[in-house]
Amino acid sequence: MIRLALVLALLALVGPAHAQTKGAPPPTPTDLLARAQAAERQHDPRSAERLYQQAVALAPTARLARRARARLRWLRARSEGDYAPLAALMKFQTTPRRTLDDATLRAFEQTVHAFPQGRVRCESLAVIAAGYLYGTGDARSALVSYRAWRDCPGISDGDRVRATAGAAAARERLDGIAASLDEIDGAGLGARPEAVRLRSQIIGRTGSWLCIVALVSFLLLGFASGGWAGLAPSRLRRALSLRRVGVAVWVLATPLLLMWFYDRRVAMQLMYVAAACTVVVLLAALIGAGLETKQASTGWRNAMATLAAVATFAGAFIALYRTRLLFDIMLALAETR
Amino acid sequence: MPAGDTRNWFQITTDGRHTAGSPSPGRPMQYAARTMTFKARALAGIVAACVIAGALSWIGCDGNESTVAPDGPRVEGAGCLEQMPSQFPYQPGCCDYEVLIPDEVIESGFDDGTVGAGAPDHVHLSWAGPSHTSITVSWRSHRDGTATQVLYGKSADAVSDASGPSDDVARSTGHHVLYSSFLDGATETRMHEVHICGLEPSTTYHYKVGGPGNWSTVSDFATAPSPGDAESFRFVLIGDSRDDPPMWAQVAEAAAAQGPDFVVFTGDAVGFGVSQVMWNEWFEASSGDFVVQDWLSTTPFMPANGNHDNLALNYVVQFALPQQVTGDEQVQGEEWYSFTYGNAHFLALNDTPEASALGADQLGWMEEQLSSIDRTQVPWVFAYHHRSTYSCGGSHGSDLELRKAWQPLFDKYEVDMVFSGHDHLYERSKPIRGLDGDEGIVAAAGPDDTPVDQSGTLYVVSGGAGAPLYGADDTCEHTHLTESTRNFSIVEIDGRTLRLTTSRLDGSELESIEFAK
Repeated sequence: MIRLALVLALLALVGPAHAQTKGAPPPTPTDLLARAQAAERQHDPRSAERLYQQAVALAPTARLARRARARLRWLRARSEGDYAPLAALMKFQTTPRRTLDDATLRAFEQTVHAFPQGRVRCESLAVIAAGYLYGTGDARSALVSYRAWRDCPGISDGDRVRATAGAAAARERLDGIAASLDEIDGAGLGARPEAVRLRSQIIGRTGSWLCIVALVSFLLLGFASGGWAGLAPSRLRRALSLRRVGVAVWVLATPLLLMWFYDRRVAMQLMYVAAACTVVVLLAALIGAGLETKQASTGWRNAMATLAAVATFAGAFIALYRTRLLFDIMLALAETR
Repeated sequence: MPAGDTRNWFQITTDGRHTAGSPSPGRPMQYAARTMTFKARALAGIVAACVIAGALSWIGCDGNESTVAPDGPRVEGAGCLEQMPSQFPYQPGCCDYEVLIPDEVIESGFDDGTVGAGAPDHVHLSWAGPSHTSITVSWRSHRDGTATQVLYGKSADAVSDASGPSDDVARSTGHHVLYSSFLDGATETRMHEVHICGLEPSTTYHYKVGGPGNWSTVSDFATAPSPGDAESFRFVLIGDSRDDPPMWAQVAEAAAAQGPDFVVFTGDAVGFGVSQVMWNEWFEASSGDFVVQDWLSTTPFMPANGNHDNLALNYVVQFALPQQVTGDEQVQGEEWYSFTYGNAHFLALNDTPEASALGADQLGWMEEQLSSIDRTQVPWVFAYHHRSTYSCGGSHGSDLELRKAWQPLFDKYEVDMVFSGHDHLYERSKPIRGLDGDEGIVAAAGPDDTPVDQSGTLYVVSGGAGAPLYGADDTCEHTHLTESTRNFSIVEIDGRTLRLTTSRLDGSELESIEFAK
């Protein structure tokens, strides 16, 4: 009797619940996908995986199943520790970088040390390193984390490059450009764009000074040679003859004109190069005419011609390297006016 | 006047380092030098040579010996049954649009079943017709391969087993062209293009390309929901992948993992659009097991022209885009185009060269497009192009001429978001509506500077997919957020709700916003 009463009571409880379940429409694949995505946003990868799987099972050929499969692949590649590490990483990844503080970073770093070896551990190190470098500005801790990431077992080539680039960025802040370049070269990645950029900076800084020295030497030696003294109008006319000016205009202005008609927004830096080269070439022509007047030795004239050629390249170099700066000056002048 | 392309020019010189190997054994490809040294940048002669090269390319120096095969494209099996004309332009089977090809190609023709050595590669998808009933498949083959066939159906197994059309498998054929790459000497590339129409909306299809005895691996694609259908979809927003294929592959891999339905690309895929070597590297870029061309064989790619792509023949031939010729529009009408996906309409605009950017043809087309959208059915409208109309930092900043020319239309028709690249970083504006001189007027905003009741347009700069990063600057009034970092954005539309999530390459979230209309 008691057993019957218990069974009836159980049926009384289960019955309405069952009826309620029966009455509710079954979830559609779209619903399941939406719930799975919501689970991801709530840092619950385990539930997300289950829901994506259900969505695929319900409608394997549907368009939305493709999205579910892509997410399943991604999640399953990060399932170590039954998704607990991934859940922690997902939560940390949504913390705005600008609000990151040292305590938060160090707490997460401690958590990550307890993660099992695997993809999530490595990806966590990457986020921590970037958090230090670009969040709190702690380049030394960033360097340690980037190197730990780089040493992750089984790290992909692409990630190794990024880890090295990150370490180089940290070294740049700590020890300067040369040390940064050492970090990249030491990892055998000297051909990477990051290394090229650093070399460009080094060459650009020293190169600009060398170019200025070349230009000043050209002007001083031209003056010292007496090349600008006693220029007769006839010599001046010959130095800047119509033919010479025509050739110069053709060489320097033709590409500029072509680009100007094509799209004048990309012709600006070419205009600076042309202007710089024109100035040096005109000065060289004047110095040459002066030297002719002075009847300077061939050796002296050859030396000046070589220096003029070097100065032309120096002018072009500086114009190219500093185009942005020159442009800003022009803009400032235009605004002042 | 915006800044010039100084940094771009600095990054393009040669020093003789050769690029990585051929995609398929035995493929007669040549690989030119492309990497850069700083010393070479100092040589104004190189710059002049580049300018002249660009100018020659621009005025069109390639020969043209178009040929026409006797038999035109056809569709057989489970698909449409329609015999097609045998000359260009032609109307592919079941499609309601015509296909034109560039005059500059060396030769062209239709499928004749002749397969070349090596498997087809660079297989990728786009839409030249309606996204809910069509797809366009493009691929590269050996120079001598002229077989241009696609076998497709809803069953992966049936397509895999098929060697021709059947009850479950349809066959569509298309055209092929042979073109020479301006910067790569005698390198010639054979591209194939098949337009498949008459498909069912929101449906997954499996397919393989090639010809008898020489098929690609089976891949798949999905058609879009019908126009106006509020079914959820997501696309990835990405741009400026040039000059660093390994980095591009990593960004693409991270984006692909989100399962986007298609790719909106803001331009500058490669450093020199006329270099096939660079395009090959772009398609073949890999990160571990992930290869860019594998992703693009499943996910339609819809690019805007960047100043480095420069509407080069290589760009035009490799990407089949809607050909809606307006006035003097270049490249068979692919200079600017539009498409609808579900309840959203997309305008891909062209801002290079300047004549196109500011010309009446494109502006007129924009007005016509924007005014004809039924916003009750298609509430979301997006525009994308390369040069930014709102960019605070980077190397270029805002293009004020573009802003003055285009923003009045964006404002008038309440375009929801405008995407661009050019500055290699991420930046998102506050809602903007109206101009005060050159400056945009910041409109009413909700949480995280999102629009309220379509109060303004959001301008997003997405240019961090591989090109050297530029510095960010958040001091402009219009800027909500900016960061100099590798990034990609996922835009998800679910009915009348939009969610934008931008991630860094390390997976951390740069921002996530949501707003509804």
